[in-house]
Amino acid sequence: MFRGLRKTDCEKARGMLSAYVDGHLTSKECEAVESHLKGCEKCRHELESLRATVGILHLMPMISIPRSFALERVEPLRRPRALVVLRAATAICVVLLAFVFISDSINIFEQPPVYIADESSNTMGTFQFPTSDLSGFMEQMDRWLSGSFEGEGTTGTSIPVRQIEYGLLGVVVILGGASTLTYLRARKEGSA
Amino acid sequence: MEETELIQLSKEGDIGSFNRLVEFHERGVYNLAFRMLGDAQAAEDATQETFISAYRALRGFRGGDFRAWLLKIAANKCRDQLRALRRRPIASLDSMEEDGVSLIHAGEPPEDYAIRRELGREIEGGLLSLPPDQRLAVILSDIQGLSYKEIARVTASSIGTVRSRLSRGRARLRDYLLERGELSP
Repeated sequence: MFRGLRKTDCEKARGMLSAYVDGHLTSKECEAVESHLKGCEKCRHELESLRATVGILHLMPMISIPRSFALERVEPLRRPRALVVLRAATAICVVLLAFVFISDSINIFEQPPVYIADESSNTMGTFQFPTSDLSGFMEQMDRWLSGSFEGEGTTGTSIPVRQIEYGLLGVVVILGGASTLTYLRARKEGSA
Repeated sequence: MEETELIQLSKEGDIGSFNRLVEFHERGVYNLAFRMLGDAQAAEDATQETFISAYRALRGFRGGDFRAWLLKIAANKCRDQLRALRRRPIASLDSMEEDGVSLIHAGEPPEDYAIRRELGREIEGGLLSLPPDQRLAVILSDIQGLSYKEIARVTASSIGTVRSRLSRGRARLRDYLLERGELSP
């Protein structure tokens, strides 16, 4: 009759009686319930009392409204100022982060190589990258990050690109989180 | 004028058209709120807040069943009111009638009204004894007459969940009425 579950047949049938009353069972479920009801007086009583309950509920009157709920004027809710500020700040930081990241990936911060003419011979000069500039700093940063930096010192012209990137990323995450929380709160209050 | 046309005009800011929609649906929304909360004042507040929120959120309504959309807002407002009601006692059916809420049918004999009122009070108590999710499913199905699909839309749940909540809610209500002798065993 009822397969696959550990419940007793009566428990399974009773769990389906409500949907059976509404005609919301599949034909297979319906057959199983009807087959069980034929041999179970207790469940037939359950069905009758459930039908009576639903019948009483259907007879419940609609209550008259105490007054009209028509609206006279509805002020549009303004978005909270904090949300506007947070969103603007997040957008600015995202743009800055994107700018720094793209610039870094195309080496825009790197100083151009210096042409050094080889005066001792008649051969062509060579291009050399200045070691005390940004690329040097990046090497130092890599060493510093890997723990082998020994305080060689950087020149005053270096730009700490990665620090800026990490810093901006952190700010974006914090501002984005705060914006989301503010938005969710405002939405719950119906003003977003 | 058709509902879709009234909705469109309301979206454009025509409050008169929106009030026509309010007229169509205010009774259903108020009844849901009253049955959910069992308190006339809280039901009034929830109903008014439902229509204010609906007017503000109307631009986000992308068509479909307007009544289900409205009842979904009403169900959320009822949840908010239930939280607030936990802090103060619920008014009885008697106090509701003192407040001027009419339950009597036109031309109904007083004896019939008394029996119906007594039964109504028991059912009201039984509904309030149910957990809010089951209460909402029972009210929407058996008092408001919504289909399983519409209830699923209002409660943002699956048809299986609706079926289960309805089954448990009705069974609990039946047991409540049996205990009080309103149903013969």
